[in-house]
Amino acid sequence: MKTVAAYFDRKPIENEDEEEESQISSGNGNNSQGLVDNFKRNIGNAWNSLAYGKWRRKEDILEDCNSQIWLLGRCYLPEGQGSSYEENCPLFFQDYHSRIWLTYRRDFPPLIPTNKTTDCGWGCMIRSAQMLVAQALTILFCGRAYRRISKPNIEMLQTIIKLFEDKDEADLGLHRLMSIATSQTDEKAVGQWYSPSRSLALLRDAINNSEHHLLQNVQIYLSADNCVVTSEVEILSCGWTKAIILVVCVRLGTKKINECYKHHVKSVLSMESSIGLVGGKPKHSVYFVGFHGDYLFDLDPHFAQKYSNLDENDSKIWETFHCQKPTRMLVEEMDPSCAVGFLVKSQTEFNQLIQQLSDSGIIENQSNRALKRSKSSHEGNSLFSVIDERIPSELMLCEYETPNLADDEDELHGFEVV
Amino acid sequence: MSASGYIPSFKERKNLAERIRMVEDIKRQQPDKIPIIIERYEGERYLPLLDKCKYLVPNHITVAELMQIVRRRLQLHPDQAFFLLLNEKSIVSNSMTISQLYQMEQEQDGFLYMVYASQPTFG
Repeated sequence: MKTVAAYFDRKPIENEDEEEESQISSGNGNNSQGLVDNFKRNIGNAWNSLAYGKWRRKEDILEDCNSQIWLLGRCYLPEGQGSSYEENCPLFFQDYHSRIWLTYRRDFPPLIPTNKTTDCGWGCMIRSAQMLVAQALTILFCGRAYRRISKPNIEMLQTIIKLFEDKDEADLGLHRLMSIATSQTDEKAVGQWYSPSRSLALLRDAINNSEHHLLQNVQIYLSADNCVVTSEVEILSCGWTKAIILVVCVRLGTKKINECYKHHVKSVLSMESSIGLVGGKPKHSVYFVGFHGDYLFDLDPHFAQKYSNLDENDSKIWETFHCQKPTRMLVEEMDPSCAVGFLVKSQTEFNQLIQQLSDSGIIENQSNRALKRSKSSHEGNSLFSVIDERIPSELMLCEYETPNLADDEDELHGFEVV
Repeated sequence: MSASGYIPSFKERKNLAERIRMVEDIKRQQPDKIPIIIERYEGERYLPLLDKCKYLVPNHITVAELMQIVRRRLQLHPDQAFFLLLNEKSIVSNSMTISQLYQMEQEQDGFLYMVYASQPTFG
């Protein structure tokens, strides 16, 4: 049996992961070394504010005033006044602004075993995955209707944000995730780039290891191969005493997103149980939360902010966890790799979700959960499939693990017989 | 790809006439098996290469079973994202048999072409 470490140790074939890294070397030595480190840190900070600063953020302009705006299962209509989303569709803006926004941070306590004090240039996928989980927790504990405008600093939301604080003690924070990643691989975990599936697996493991009271009745179900198995979801939910964050990793094409999936991506974001998508442009991860016409709204972590201890309870600090300017990108700019998230709290909600996904052709439904199976089940444009039981792999092993047919190789033109 | 090796695809290595002949020969010998080409997506940077690309698959096995077989050959951890793509679409019809898929998607030379890929990383 291989360890988890062995599987994830595979090196990427080309390594271009470190191009924007501002490494801070060890600073425990003498004074001059300390000065050098300070200098490097300042240069690093200057670079980060240049690369991920305010000026890079696109203007929030609304051109299309006629079509609906969707945000995580809620529909809004522009009012026709003003040019920004904030002015033109204030209800949408309040909803967007109320979501937890996690960004690059600098000057946080070092990420053990390195001396890195920032995730600028490498941590965006982790941040996007954290935002998806933060949204699920917000719905669970504050409700989907929570808006900052009515209760700007409710304690519950602050408790959720603290779970993601950049310090060793935070149960779902970068430090904890990096310590889990380090324990699972012999390679360096800090400073690496992450894929959607890997970053969500780290969050799943962090929830499993946590004793935090908010995390006792929630679990992440992660599908890494296009398939959700309902019996596995049931087991994980412990008879629906726990809420399930259902995350399905998908690949919607090779180089670019295939045209045939664009509609599905939008449909998913309009569903009641949607908690968004973790994905992005190639090499640039964001957390997708809604759409307007051909644009997808996202919460973009590529914005370097200074870390401040949340125990100080300064309202200015809490403000940095909410985005003031809706950012967006065209659906076709999306990288084809992403992870689709849903929150289900009960058997009824789960069955409804499957029915809804099946009706809209988003899934290939082979489960008995939905009353009606999808009509065109072999159409081939589904995002993923849902089945009730997984075929036991031992069974397949004895059936298809055929003897070595090396003798026949020539006759078979080098075919590998399965 | 980098200097470490551009690997020409099966179609680049064999011309159409050769490929058609291969399929004809193999179908004579193994009429109830489907000839499939499974290659790593050229932009894939995390999954290992398969040692072979030509497979003869019993026509009754399902897409889900084929995915399991390839996953096992590549020795993937259950958390490792893995997708088989055909014509720029992920194959998600778990219960569809290879023979049904072949009817719909076989190419002019008689092979069924698939690529496998995981998810790239983002920074």
